[in-house]
Amino acid sequence: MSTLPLCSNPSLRSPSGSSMNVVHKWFLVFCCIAVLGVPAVRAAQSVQSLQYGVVLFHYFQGDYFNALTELMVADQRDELAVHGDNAQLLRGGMSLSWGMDREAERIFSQSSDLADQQANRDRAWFYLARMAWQRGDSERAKQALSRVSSELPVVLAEEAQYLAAAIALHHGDQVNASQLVDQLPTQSPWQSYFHYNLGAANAAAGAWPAAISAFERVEAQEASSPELRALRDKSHTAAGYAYLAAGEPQQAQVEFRKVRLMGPQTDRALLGYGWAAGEGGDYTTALAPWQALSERSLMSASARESWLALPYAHEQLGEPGRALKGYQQAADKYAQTQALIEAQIAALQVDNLWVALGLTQHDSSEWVFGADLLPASDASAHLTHLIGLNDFQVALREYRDLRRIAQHLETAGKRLEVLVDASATQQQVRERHARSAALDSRRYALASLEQRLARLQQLIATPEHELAGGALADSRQARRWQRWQRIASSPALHHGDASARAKNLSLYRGLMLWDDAEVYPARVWELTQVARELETLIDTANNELQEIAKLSTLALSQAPADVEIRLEALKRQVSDQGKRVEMALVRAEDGVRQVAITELQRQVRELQHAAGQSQLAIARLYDRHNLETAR
Amino acid sequence: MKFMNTLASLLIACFASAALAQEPLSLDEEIQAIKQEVLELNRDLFILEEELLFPGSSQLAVFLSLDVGEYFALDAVKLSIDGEVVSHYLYTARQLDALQRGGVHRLYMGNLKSGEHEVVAVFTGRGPHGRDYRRGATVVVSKNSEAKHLELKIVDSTALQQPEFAIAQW
Repeated sequence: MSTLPLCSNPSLRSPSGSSMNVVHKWFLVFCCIAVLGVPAVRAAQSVQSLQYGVVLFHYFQGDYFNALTELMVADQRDELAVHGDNAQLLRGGMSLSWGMDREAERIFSQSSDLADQQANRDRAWFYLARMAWQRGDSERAKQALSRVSSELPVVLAEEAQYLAAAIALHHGDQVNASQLVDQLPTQSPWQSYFHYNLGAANAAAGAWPAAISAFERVEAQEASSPELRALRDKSHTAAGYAYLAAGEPQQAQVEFRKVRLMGPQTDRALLGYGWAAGEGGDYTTALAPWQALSERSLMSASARESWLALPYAHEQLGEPGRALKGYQQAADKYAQTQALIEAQIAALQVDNLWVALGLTQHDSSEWVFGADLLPASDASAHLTHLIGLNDFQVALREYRDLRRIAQHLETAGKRLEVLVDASATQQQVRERHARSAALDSRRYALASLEQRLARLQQLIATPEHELAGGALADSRQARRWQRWQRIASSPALHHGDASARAKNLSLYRGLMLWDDAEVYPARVWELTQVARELETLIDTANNELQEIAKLSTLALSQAPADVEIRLEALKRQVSDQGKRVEMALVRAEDGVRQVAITELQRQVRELQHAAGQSQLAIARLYDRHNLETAR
Repeated sequence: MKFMNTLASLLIACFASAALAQEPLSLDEEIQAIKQEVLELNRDLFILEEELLFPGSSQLAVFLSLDVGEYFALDAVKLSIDGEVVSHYLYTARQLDALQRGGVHRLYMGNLKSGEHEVVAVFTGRGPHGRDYRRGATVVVSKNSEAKHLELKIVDSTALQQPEFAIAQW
């Protein structure tokens, strides 16, 4: 995790290292005690505390979007009365952490509780100042700092003092800036960062002696952490170049030699050391660092510079053959590197820049202390210089947040669709309920059907010999049995030759029983199928009735007020916000893309220039050779 | 070879100020305004969702809280209502950390008819001495026309050196 607070100018970055670890701990206090001393809910004491606990559950996971939503929901329902202004402070802190410093500023300004909590008030304004500075808004940073009292904890107070000095320096007021920093303890790490920045400001103005003096003050400070040691390397390198510019190459060599051999400044120091030696006429000494440098990664601008410097040294040493070969190799390498960077430019001109930059692994939404976003794709290989810049980081974070918001809106749209469906269903249920008599008759019909099924199942289960005649008959056979029954019970049967009629009747019955027995297995099978189908239908109908009953319970509870109006309003908002986010996303993406491509194009121009210089040197060497041959 | 050109370019690289110009704040302001408005939209959606899908008269919400967690490292919770599993939730390390720091997880939200219902929560994880641990807690809730909130509480009992599991009704 990066502990560097970002600032608009990389040369004005703040210190980190051991002191920042302490600062970080303070931040954890700031965060973990629910921002500005708001106590976390240990065991929920009430329903209100449960809601507050839900907010904290999201908050402690860094999920500011859902934490803020839950807090705003609870606030809207007046469920946070128990927590008073603490909840508002938490909201301010979370807003700040989610990159909404303007909203945080509004909340902190309005929170009356802050007036009684000086320490919390100071922290709030300090972090706001830092965020504003990170955004490059030095005026807002200055205003926020002016609201910080002397009650700020020591580690934060030192950083606040440094920030005030950095702002003064940014406005060109070196005297005031130096006075502010002089109030810091001598061994404060912020002293080192300030003096480095002061040196950089003077170097940029061409005030070499003042720059050198400031850089040398960094060396006087203790470098107790890796970051401070890296800063010291940077100061030595910068001092070396300042000495070179001031025409003191020997002193420059001394500074370059102080840079550690394994560090981010090594390449620049090696290159500078070579130039310092060359400036003193000692190109033999210059060869060694340049040779080492030329074998380093082509991503390094210094290494690329050495491709040209190396043959130049050979030329100066009177070795035209080696120089010519070196220039030819340099020209080839510049051409290859240019092609590579041009391919990277093309890769960045795709639709999904986020993927092209290799940023897919970044899921944090933290602004105040989130790690730097580090592009990790081939297309971003030559953007190292940019990645460390504050403005680029801010632009990446804004781009990241907009992408996330677009996803939230998409989800909101889907949730809204569900609500529209639910609302329509509930409306139908209400209407259905109004026809409850119809529902009751369906229930009655279903019950009757269930009884009939039970009778059928009983019939199927009855052994054949116990069945009455025609019990399982199909419709045709059933009609015969009905006719037979009618005749058998007719009084006319007993008139005339009654015995012959009875005999015939008995014969018919026997025949029909024979028919029944013949089709019995088939009928049992058919009726079993029918029973099963009925069973399924009854189950389905039962489930549907239960579902309707369930929905009725839900729908009959009081319908939300103005639900249709609210749904329509939400639909409109989702649509409007979607368009707005899309436009902002295009702007943010184009901004990042443009900066990245501009940086790569700058490198291409440098490479073209260097390649041109190589070609000129080759031509110059050929010309000289031709002149000597002619003589 | 223009030495001074090289030097100048190196100096620029060495002391460079931001390649980006001070961005106008309009995009920043626009993004912050969008964030605020999307939060408000999400709030309104959340409230309407609850009113439509889980109205107070039938609402049951179940929360989970964790106190200390020294004797029990929670892995998962299975929640059943009237014998039907309504939630089976597996916690990540990050979520557990949030619970231990005082966060409360809304485990379940649903609808219940008025009347008595049995709620059973089964907690699985690692108990004292790192052993697999599985415990349950049961409560019979009487649902009326008010929203019902239950809190599943996992509390360390220092006296017993064991975790305790309870269900509180609000």
